[in-house]
Amino acid sequence: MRILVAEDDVELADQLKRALAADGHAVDVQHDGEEIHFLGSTEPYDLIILDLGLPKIDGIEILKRWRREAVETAVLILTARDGWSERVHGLDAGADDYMTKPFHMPELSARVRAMLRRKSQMSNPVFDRDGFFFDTRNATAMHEGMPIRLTAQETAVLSYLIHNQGRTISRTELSEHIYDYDGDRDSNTIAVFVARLRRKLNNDLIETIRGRGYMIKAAG
Amino acid sequence: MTSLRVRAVLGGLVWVAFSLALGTFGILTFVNSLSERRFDEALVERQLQVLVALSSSEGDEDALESFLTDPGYRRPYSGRYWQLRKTTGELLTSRSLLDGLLRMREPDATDPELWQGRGPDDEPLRGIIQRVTLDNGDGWLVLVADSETKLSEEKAQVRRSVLLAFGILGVIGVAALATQIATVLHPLSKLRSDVLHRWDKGQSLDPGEYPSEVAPLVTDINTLLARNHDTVSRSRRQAADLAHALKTPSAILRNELQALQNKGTETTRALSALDRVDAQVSRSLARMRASFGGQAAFKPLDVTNVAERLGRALSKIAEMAGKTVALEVEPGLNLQGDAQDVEEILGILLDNAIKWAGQHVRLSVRGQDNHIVFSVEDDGPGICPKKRSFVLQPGSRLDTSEAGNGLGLAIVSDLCAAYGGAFELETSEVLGGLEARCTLPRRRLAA
Repeated sequence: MRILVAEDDVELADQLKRALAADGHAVDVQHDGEEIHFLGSTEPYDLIILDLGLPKIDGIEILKRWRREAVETAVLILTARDGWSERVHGLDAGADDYMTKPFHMPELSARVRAMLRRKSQMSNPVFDRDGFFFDTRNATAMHEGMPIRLTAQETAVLSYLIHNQGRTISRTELSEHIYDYDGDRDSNTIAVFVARLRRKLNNDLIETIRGRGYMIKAAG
Repeated sequence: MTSLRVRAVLGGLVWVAFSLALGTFGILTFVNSLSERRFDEALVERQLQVLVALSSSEGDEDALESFLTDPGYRRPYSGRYWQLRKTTGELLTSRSLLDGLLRMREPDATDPELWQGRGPDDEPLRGIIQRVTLDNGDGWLVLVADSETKLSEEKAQVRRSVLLAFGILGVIGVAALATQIATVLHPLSKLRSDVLHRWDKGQSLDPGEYPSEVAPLVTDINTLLARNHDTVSRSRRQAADLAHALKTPSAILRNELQALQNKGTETTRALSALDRVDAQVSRSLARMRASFGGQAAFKPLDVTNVAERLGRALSKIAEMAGKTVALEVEPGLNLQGDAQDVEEILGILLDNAIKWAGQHVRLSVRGQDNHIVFSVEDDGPGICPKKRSFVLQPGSRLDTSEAGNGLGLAIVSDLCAAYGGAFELETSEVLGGLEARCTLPRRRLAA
C-alpha cells in the first residue's frame, strides 16, 4: 500500500519511512506543507500520516483543503500538540485517527494496518481462502500450513489486491500503489510480479480480466 | 480599607448631625431669648400697672385692688403676684399670695431691677423690684413677679416643636444622603457587575457608559483584561510549541532505541529513562495548561456545541474499535469558560471510556441549577471504589500494559478544581461500568 508521510522533522520522517517500508508499504516522505498538499491531491495514496505542525501550511488546513477537493484518502494525524483541542479540530476536519508524539512505532504500524483494512472493509486482518492464508499484520503468506517466501514487491502486489477484493485493478493502478514517487514505475514489471505470485501460490486466486487488469474475487 | 459607601455614609451622617445640632442650638437660643423678652415685656407692663394703681390709690388697699383686675392676682398661688412695702413698714400683697410673702431686698437705686426668688409654693419667680416715691411723699418698695414655670413650659413646648421639626429634617437629610450616595456610587456598582458579566456580552466594557471620572478606569480594566487574555493565549501557544519542540526529538530517540533493541542491543534502561522524561514533560505541560483553566474566557462558551462536536469526533475513533458513543446533550447550554478546557476534559474522559468500554460509551451533558454536569459512562470493567482516589493521582496507572502516561484523570481533576467544580468517579447505573462525572459552575465566582 502507498503511504505519504507528511512530517517536517527529517529524522522522524526517515524513521517512519523505514518502519513502514519494512511493513511492505511504498512510502513517500514530504516535509513542506505546500508540497504535501500537492502530493496528497494528485497521488493516489492509500493513507497519509499527517503532522499538524508543518511549515507554510498548517496540517489541519491541508486536511481541510483535501476534504474540500474530495480527496478521501485515510488520514492519520500525528501530533506533538498535547491538547485535545487540536485532536478534535483534526478529527473534525476529516482525519480518521490520531496519535500523539512520542509514540511507539509498533502501535503506529498497527493503527496504519487497521486503517487500511477499514478502508477496504476487511474486518479480519487474516485473509483465508481455500487453504491459502495471508496475514496483513506481518505480511506472511502460507499455503496448506507451509510458509511461502515472497519478495517485497510480490507482497505489495498481493496485499493491494487482497485489500481491494472484488475490484478489477489495472496494472497502472497497481504500479501507482506499490511504488513510491521516485520508484521506477514500469507497468510491464507488474505482469512479471503477478506471474511469479501465481507460481508461488500455486492457485488461481488472482484472475486476469482481459484488457483491464487483475482481480481477487470477493469472498462468498 | 474602609469602603467608599461607608466613608460617604459616615461623612454624610457627621455632616447632617453637625448641621442639625448647630441649627437646633441656634433656633432654640433665639426662641428662648424671644420667650424671655416677651415674658419680661409683659412683666414691665404689669409693673407699670401696679405703679399706676399705687399712685392712684395712694396706698389704699381696696382702691389698689380695684385697679388691678387681673384674675391672676386673686387666684391663690396663681404664680402672679405683687407685693408693696411702705418705708414705714406697712405691707400690701396680692390675694394670690394668701399669707405668703416674697423676700424683698433693697435695690441699690431707684431704677427698676430684675428680681428672682421663690414663691409661696416654692416655684421659681421672676420679677421687677423698684423703689418709688409717690406724689404725697410716701416711699414704697414695689415688687411685681410672675412664675417662671410658665416660661419654662413655653420654652419646653417650643423646644419640642423645634426638635420635632429638626428630627423630620434629619430623616429627610439622611434619605437624601442615601439617595445621593447610591447615585454617586452607581457607576462603580455597574462597573463591578459589568466586569463580572462581561463574558455574557462577549465584549469589552464601553467607557462611554460611565461618568468621566470612572471612564479612564474602565479603559484601564479593558487593557488589563485584554493583556491577561493575550498572556494566557501566548502561554498556551508557548506550551504547545514546547510540546512540539520536545516530543518530536523524544519520538526519534525512542524509535532509534527501539530499533537498536530489535537488533539485540540492550536499551531497556535508556528506554525507561526516556519514559521518565516523557512522563515529566507531559505532566509539566498538563499542569501548565490546567493552571490557565478558564482564564482566557471572554465569551460565554456554547457547551452544547463543544460537547456535540467532540462526541462526534470521538465517535469516529470508537467506531474504528467497533464501539459506539451515544450522545445526550441538552440544547442551549453555556458556561463561563474556555473551549479548550472543556474539550480537554471531555476528550480525556471519552478517550478513556472508549479504551475501556466493552461496546457502549455514553456522553450526557445537562444543566442542573447553576452547574453543568458532564457524565461519561461505559460498560467496561469500571474501577473499584478503593482504587478511585488512586487514579486521580498524577502518574498513577491501573493498567501499565496500555500506552499512556497516567495523567488523564489527574488533568481532568485539576481542570475541574481550577473552575471551582467537582470531579467524581462512580459506578454507571445505566451501563454498569465506570461513570466519570464532572460538575462545573455555569458562572465562576468573583475572585
